[in-house]
Amino acid sequence: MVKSPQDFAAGLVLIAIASIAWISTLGLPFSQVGGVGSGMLPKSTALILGGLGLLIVVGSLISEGPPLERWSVRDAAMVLGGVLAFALTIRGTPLPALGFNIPALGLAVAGPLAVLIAAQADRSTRLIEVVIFAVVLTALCIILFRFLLGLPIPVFPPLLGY
Amino acid sequence: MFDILGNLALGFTVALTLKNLALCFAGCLIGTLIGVLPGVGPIATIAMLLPITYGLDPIGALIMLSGIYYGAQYGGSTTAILVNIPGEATSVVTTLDGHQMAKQGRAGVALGTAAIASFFAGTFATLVVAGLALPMTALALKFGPSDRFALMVMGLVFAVVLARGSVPKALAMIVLGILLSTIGTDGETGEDRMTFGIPQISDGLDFAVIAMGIFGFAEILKNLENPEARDVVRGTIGRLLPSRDDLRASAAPAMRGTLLGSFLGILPGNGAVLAPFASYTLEKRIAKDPSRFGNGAIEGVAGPEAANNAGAQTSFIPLLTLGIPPNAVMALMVGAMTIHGLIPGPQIMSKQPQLFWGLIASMWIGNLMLLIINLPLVGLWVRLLKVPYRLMFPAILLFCCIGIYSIGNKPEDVMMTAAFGFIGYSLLKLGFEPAPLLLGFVLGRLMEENLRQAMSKAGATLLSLFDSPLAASLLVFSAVLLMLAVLPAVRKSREEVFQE
Amino acid sequence: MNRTASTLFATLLASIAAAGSALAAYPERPVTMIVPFAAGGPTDQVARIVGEHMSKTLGQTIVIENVTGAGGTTGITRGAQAAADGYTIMMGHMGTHGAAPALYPTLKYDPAKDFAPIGLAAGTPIVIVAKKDFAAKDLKEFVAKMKADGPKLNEGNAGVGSVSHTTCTLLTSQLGVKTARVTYKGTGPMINDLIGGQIDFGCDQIVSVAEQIKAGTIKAYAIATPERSPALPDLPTTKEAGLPDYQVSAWNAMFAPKGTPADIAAKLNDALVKALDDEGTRKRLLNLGAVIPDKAGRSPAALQKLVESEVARWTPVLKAAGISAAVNPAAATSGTTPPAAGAPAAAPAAPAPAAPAPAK
Repeated sequence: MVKSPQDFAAGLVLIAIASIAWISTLGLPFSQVGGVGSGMLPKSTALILGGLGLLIVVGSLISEGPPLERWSVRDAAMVLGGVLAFALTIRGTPLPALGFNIPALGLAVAGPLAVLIAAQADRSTRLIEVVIFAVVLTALCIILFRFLLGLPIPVFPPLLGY
Repeated sequence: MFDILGNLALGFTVALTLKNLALCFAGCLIGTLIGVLPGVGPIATIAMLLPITYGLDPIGALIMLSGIYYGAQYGGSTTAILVNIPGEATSVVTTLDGHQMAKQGRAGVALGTAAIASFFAGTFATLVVAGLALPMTALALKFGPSDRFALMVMGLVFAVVLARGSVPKALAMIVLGILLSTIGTDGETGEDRMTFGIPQISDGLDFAVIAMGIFGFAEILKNLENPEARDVVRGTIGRLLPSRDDLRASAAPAMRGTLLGSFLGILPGNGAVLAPFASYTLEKRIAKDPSRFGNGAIEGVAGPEAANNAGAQTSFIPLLTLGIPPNAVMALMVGAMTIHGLIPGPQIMSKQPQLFWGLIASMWIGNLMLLIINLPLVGLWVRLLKVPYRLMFPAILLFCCIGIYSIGNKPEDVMMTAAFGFIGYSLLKLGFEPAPLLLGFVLGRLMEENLRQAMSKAGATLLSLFDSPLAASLLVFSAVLLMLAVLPAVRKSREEVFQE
Repeated sequence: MNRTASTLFATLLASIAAAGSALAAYPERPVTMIVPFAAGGPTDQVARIVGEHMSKTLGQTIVIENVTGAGGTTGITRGAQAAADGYTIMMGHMGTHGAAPALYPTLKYDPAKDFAPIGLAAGTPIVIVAKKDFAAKDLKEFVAKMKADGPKLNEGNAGVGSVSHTTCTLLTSQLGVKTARVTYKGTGPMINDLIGGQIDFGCDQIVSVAEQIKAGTIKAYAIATPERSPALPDLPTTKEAGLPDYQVSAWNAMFAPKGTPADIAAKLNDALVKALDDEGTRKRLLNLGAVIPDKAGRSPAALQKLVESEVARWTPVLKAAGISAAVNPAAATSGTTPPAAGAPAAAPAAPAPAAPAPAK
């Protein structure tokens, strides 16, 4: 029986990563004329990783360990979603597969957007407070990065200027 | 000796003009401000800020850039201690004990110790650069690819030693880090390695992306899940500066770290990266009670921080004596010099003595400035921890987005960071430590490069890795050290089995 | 301060994407120049030196945006797909607009078809260098040694697709020899090992090696340009030293996306030409060891011809060296058919049409 569910899962994940790495580097040579091939390090590390995964799985069957932890899916989705929103809107993203394009909004919009979405991950967030905070923080960032340090980061939608 | 004094005097007359002092100060300040952004390390900071020095005269530009460099390094340590996000490989080590200290309400002490140890190391290393630059260059040139490969292997073994918790899981993270470092177009043959057809990763993964994803997001999500734990950090803020006892405990580790860092910094192929790991491993090995390490041991901050700064300083040596950049930061320095019409080369010392010695003098002044800027700032940084977490974490995220975007002006990098955030969160839930993964990632890449250089040489075989006595002894030493690190764990787990 | 205040005001308006802008005289706002390499590198330096003077002529700042990745092709791809309104231009080079089709089978642009050429900015000569105690006193002896012991000689290069890699591949393919190739990440580490005697020889841009040659830490055999360089006046050209076919330069040139209006392209070319005539700019470029193109070489037509001839020249050389789609395992899965072996050398290898410019 599994005595350490967390280790059991961890070992399985390692074995899965190792298998993916091994399969995707099948075509790379281990050695080549005059030296080490491009496949040597990925393949040997995949092998070792798989071995360690197996060791951890076996260990989890023998000795007691912590249970699996709960995932806070909503928190993670909000935090990562905020970052994604920033990435998608800072310069715009064409999405030909969906038939439309996300417009380029610049830091002035992408910044508050990222803050507002991410802030939803915390239950104690107050809407008005975080809106004001997002706007002030973004304004400070624009002044510091764009105008004082001159970084070429887009600030406004292109039609309003650079 | 007299020569050096005379030369240093020349250097100080250059560096101590009002304008150059102001530039040095501005550089340190801006460097600290940008370097403190989570996920943004010195290389990214310099790359971002290089253009603002283009309008200055060559000496002024270089002085400002070195200020930015020191500032960025110190800023990176600050983020590592306060919010547990390393900006570069070397501050990974600082997160281990520095952030633990912060959690115990000793953030100010950790920051102060880091600043004082760095200043001490910087002063010593400046003297090394001034006095021993030429002999040390000659020594560094003797290091061939196989020696560098052996050094990196040793570094990976250090990574095992400094891991906490389960040894097989730590080993797995190091190996996973090495595996991640091989992703991207192969630099030697142009073959795609595990890019799965995604063009954005054809150049390999960026350190900042992985560090921010695996360390930063995982840390934020962990804190969101445990409101109690994060409030402990905010609730207890002890003294702001190290006490006499703290300083006494840090003195010897800082000295050892300085010596290690000064030596490793001159090695080509980014030997400076090893300095903090080596120092941490050494301190943990010789400590009376190694179990304190990872739980807020002040030696684990003082030693590596000193080593880091000393290495940063002496890594200027190959640039100053040969005109060759030993790492990415120095390559940017060369770029800065070249755009001003100063093409660095072996003759810089004789042809441009005012530049050479002026830069050395300003190194020391830069270190002093950092101390002056940062000791008062410690209070400010620590007070930042009082900002309610519901506002702090979105701010960290925004800074991280801007920082990661600005490294290459690519939104794709920001997306990758989010993807690694998910991976980091999964690893956390499975009970893995992120630090060994990052070390494996950085050292794995260097190890492979040097291994392949050694093996591509005409007539090389696996045995020729042992041709150089230095490489051979480093490899043997690494093997012994690995045994020492792994055997107790094996024994322990066997005992556990038999106990049942 | 006025500017800050007005931008703050604009921040409020920013979420409402205004449509339609008045057609005023170009340029009415800063022009972005994409440099596909990191700040501080040779291409970045040429771009900044030339861009600074061009800003004066145009009356608007040229903002340099360093977009790194995949040997410069990431930045150029972005530039090729940008709006063709003259507000996004780019600094390409021998790699992105010559060698790239052979090196990157999935390249998303065609150097000869997807751009409005502006003009050549600078040529960067290539020098053949060796460790200081290499047993050959001149280029003739070097060539003889290469032919006799090629596989026993260690050739350093700064990574696949780098200038040192492609230009040395050209050298070895012209000589018909194979060498032991040692790969570094960047020029710095490679020169370091050349000085330390860990490797035997290499080829690189003059700016990276000139000071070392002057100081005698490494030695040089020839410069691959028709004329000697003022930076190294004692170094013979390949023609003088007996290898006349080895002519190669890591040129830098300015491009706009295809479809950029002709009058805007002309304005940009005019600003470039003025910059190249300026004494201060010339001095700074010459300091880098750069060769400044003559009047005829600065026209868009001359650049177009250069790009076509470079693609035609590099494709067979690099494919023969085995650095091509054929060895690329991912190419098969990513849906791009590698061109058949022995395809006409002049045919561009990546005829993928540029994707439509992103909508605003």
